[in-house]
Parts: sequence; C-alpha cells; structure tokens
Amino acid sequence: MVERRIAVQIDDLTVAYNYKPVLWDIDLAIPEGVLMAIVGPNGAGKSTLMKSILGIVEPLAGSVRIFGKSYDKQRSIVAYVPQKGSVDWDFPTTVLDVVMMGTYGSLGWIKRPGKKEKKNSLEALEKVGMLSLKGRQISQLSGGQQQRVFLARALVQNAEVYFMDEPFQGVDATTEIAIINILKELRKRNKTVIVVHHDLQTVPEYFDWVTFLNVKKIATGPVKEIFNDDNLTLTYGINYKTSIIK
Amino acid sequence: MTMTSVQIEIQLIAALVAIACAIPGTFLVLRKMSLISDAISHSILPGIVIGFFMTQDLSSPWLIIFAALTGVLTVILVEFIQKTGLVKEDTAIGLVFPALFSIGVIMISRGANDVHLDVDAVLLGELVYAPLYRWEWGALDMGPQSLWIIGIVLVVNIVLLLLFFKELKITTFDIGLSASLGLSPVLVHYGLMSIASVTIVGSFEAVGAILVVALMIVPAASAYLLTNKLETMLAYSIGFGVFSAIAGYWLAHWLDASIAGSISVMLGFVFLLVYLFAPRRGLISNIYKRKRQKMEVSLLTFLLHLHNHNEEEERHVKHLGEHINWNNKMASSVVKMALENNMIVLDGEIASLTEKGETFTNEAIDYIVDDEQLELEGMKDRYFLFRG
Repeated sequence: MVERRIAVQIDDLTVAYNYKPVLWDIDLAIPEGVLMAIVGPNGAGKSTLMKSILGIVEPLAGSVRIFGKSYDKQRSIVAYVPQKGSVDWDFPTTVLDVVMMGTYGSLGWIKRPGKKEKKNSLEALEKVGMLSLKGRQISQLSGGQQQRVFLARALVQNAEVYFMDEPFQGVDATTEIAIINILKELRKRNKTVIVVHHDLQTVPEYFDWVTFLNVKKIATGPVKEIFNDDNLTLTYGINYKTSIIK
Repeated sequence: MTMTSVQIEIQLIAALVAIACAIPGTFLVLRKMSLISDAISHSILPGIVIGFFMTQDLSSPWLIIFAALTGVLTVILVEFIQKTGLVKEDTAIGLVFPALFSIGVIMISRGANDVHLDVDAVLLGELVYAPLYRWEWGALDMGPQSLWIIGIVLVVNIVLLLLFFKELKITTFDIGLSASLGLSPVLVHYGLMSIASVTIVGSFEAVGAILVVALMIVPAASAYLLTNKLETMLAYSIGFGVFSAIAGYWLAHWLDASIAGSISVMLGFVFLLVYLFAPRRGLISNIYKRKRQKMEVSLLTFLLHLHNHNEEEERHVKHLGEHINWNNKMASSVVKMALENNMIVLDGEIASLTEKGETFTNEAIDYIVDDEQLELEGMKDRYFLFRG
C-alpha cells in the first residue's frame, strides 16, 4: 500500500478546564482518506478534542497540524458539524439560510453570499434529500432533518477534512443510513472524515479507522486491527460483552 | 392642529432613538442577553460622570466614549465573575451593575450638586427639554444636540449592521461553527456590547437609563413572536419601536404625563397585543392549537381502536367511555368529528371505519411507527381535517 499522507497530526495535546485535564498528552496521526470514529465514555474529551483541533478551545499545551500546517492557515479545507444541541433551533432563519452559513468561511469578513453560494447550498441540500424543505423555518424540523441540514452546511464548504460531533444523535434509522452513505461517499473521494461516535455496535460497519479515547489516547488505527475487547475494556473500564447479564 | 417645530423635533428624536435601540436589541434578545442591556444602562453612569468631571460639558463626546468603556467593562466584569464558576450569570449581573451604578450616584452627589446632572434625569430622561439644548454653527441653528448625537449613533449602527450582518447572524446562531470558520465570535460579541453601550448612552438623554432597556428589548421580543426571518424581525422591531415612540409622545401629550413613561406604556401595549394575537406563536393561537391537537390525537385513537377491534361491543359508540376511558362529552365530539370527516359510518350505534377512514388510519400508523411527525402533520392537509 502506498504510504498515505497525514491529514491531521496532533502532538502532546493537553486541554484543561479549570486546571483539571480533559485531554492529557494526546499524540494522534490521522491518515488522509479515512472515515474515523472517536469513541470513549462520557467525559472522555471527545468533543473537546475536536474543538481544540478547530481552535474553538484553547489547549494548555501541544500542537495541531492539518496537512502539515496550522489550523489557521487551513481553515478553508476543514468543515465542522457541531452537536445538534449546541444551537438554538428557534432562531428565526430558514433551512437554506443555515446551509449558506457554510459558505461564510470562504467569504471572510463583510462579504455577503451571492448567487454562487446559493447555488452550491441548494446542491448540498439536494444531496442530503432536503431540497423540498429549503424555505422551512428551522424550528419546524425533526431531529433527523436538523442533522441533515447541518450535514449539508458542512458539504457546502467542500472541505478536505470533516469533523462531526455526534451526527447520529437523536436521528431515526433512515437518516442515520442516509448520513453514513454520504460520509462513505466522501471517503471514496479521498476526503478525511472524523466522527465522534457513541454506538459501539455500528463501528465496524460504518468506519474503517477508530480512535479510543478516555482523557488519554488508548489506541488508534484500522478498525479491523484494533477494534477488540481489550481496547474496549481499557477505554470503558469494563468489558461491555461480559458485563451484560445474559 | 398643526405641530410645532418643537413637537416635531421631539418625535424625531424619539423615533431615531427607537430605531437605534431596536438594532442591537434584536441581537441581544436572540442571544438571550436582555438582562445585560439593563446592566449596561445602569453601570455606564460612572462613565458619564467621569466624562463630565473631566470636560465640565454635558454634550462632550467624551461622555459617550467613557460611558461606552464602562459598558464594556460591565460585560467584562460579569464574564470574569461568571468564569470563576463560583457564581451564575444572573447573579454576576446583579453584583456588577449596582456596584458601578452606586459609584456613579455617589460621584454625582459628592461633586455635581451645583450642576445640571441629577439622578432623575439620568434615570428617566427628559425628552421635553431636548430641543432646548441646541448646536449652533456660527450664527446658524443646527438643531437639538441630542438629535445630532442619536443621529450619529444611528448611522454608525446602520453601517455596522449592513457590513457585519452575516457575522452577527452566524455568531448568534452557532458560536462553534463561526469560531471554526475564523469569524471570531469574541470579537463580534464585544463589538455588539460596545455598540449597545454607545446606543444606550446616545439614547440616555431622551429616555433615561430605565426605559432605554424597554426600547431595546420589547420591540425585539414582540417581533420575535411574529416572524421566522432575521431580516423581518429587525424590520418589525424597528417598526414597533418607531410606532411606540410616536404614539407614546401623543399619549403623553394627551395625558400631560412623562414622554418616556408613555413610550414604555405603548411598547408594553404592543407586546401585549402580539403576545395574545400573534398568528402562530401567540397565546390564543397556542391554546387553540393545543385543543386541536388533543382532538386530533383523540380522533386517531378512536380510529385505531375501531381498526383493531372487530367485535361489535368494542365498537359501540355508547361504550366509548368504558373502553377508552373518555367522558361522554369528549366521546361524542370525537364521534362527531369522525363522522364529519367521513372516517366512520354508524350502523345504529355501531361504528365502523369507512374506506377513507381505513386508509387514513393505516397511513397514520405507518408514520407513527416511523416517527415521522411532519408527515403526520401533512396528512391533516391532505385529508382536509377540520375543514368540513
């Protein structure tokens, strides 16, 4: 196999909230073109890891490189899907308008989105099957539809690296399948997709790369090689297979 | 009756204040920061007093600059206290602004006794006197000072709004995304706080520290209930603000009462009307909607019951009470609705689903099983429920 480029390189990353480390000395190299799950228990620092890569949370120590350069220089090739619950869905705006927000980064300050941005946004909405709801107010969307809007907003950024914080949370089965198919499609086009994920059962089916995280990095690598009981026990502290009463 | 030029000037000042306040007010409401404007409006008092002591001139632009700085200082202090994690945000606000305000009050009572700077004027404004203080350019009368001040503040607000509308929108809606896109939410936050402070200072003379909050928050809160678009919300906020300002002026004229007080009364009146009668989010429409939803769910329950039971005794309309535990009134209105919509036929007192009722029920079951709430909503339109 040809040696793959490293899309995201994290060295010695430590993040602390009020002097309590949430992430401790993380070293991580994510190769280009993988669809990777970040798994770990609640409070393991999964979202924080994502936020510190994206410069939303200031790390105490360490560095992050996207294709060899700092995030500031690479913003234009990175897309981010925050947790659905992180925004106010009663905000007075429409589906199309939210998707257009994905274009704000490439526009920079002051410049307004124009025809091109609108066209790209409509295309992204079509990809996630939401074109018919483009004018709908966002408070009238179901959980699955909200997540699709967020996904469309990331797609419109036409990035190389995608970060998604729990995209499957609170969505129905149809939407979950629609989303994972889009993510697999991205991987096929050699994009790198990094997903905070909760459902351990679906990891082997959905992802080809996985990182186990619990404040420290437990393991990272191809799902086929490292997604095993040992790593799960190390990460979650219990063996989830033997701990369930049969 | 013709209006005097003084009357026109007063109304113009009031209207400009209303527009200037509605712009930052809209974003404060959406950011759930209404209380911060209350805090700023009080805590800028020491800024005004310091500016006055330094320049000995009430119309000096230094007053506005100092006051704006104190406004931003308020926000910084509130956030600092809150970040320690020892105190919640509302408590932090409650700690900061009385402290700063009282410093201002003490400064006034110690040093400004002999000058025209009294607490009443600062708190309640004095729009009636606004036309008395005029700017003169050589021998030329340029109009009231406060008209110029609020006019400049308004122009600044409009220009910044037009330039940074997109940034204001995204940082208000999604902090995480805007930070990751490099559109700094922190910068926009402090920008908005500065503008809110400047606007409050600029409006001070007209409506005072207490009522300026009403002009910032009430029009936006009313507009929020009426629209799903940010642009429209801004337009409605401005409209409500201007209407209340003008109507408030005439109310005061008629009652021979405080203009600022009357403007606030009008604002409250506008909000009350919207709160009650807003088509989709108003109180009355909500009560009606809840009632309707209850009827819809009941209808569906009744149809599902018929769908699941072939035995005649289960389908006896007189026995709905026993079987699905409804009182007579409820049962008869549900049966009536089912009949009106041709969902059931009655054979004596035995109800059965019609073909339409059968397909309706099957469709509804599918949507309920798949949890597709919106499709369920769409069914009502397709089957003309509630339309006879």
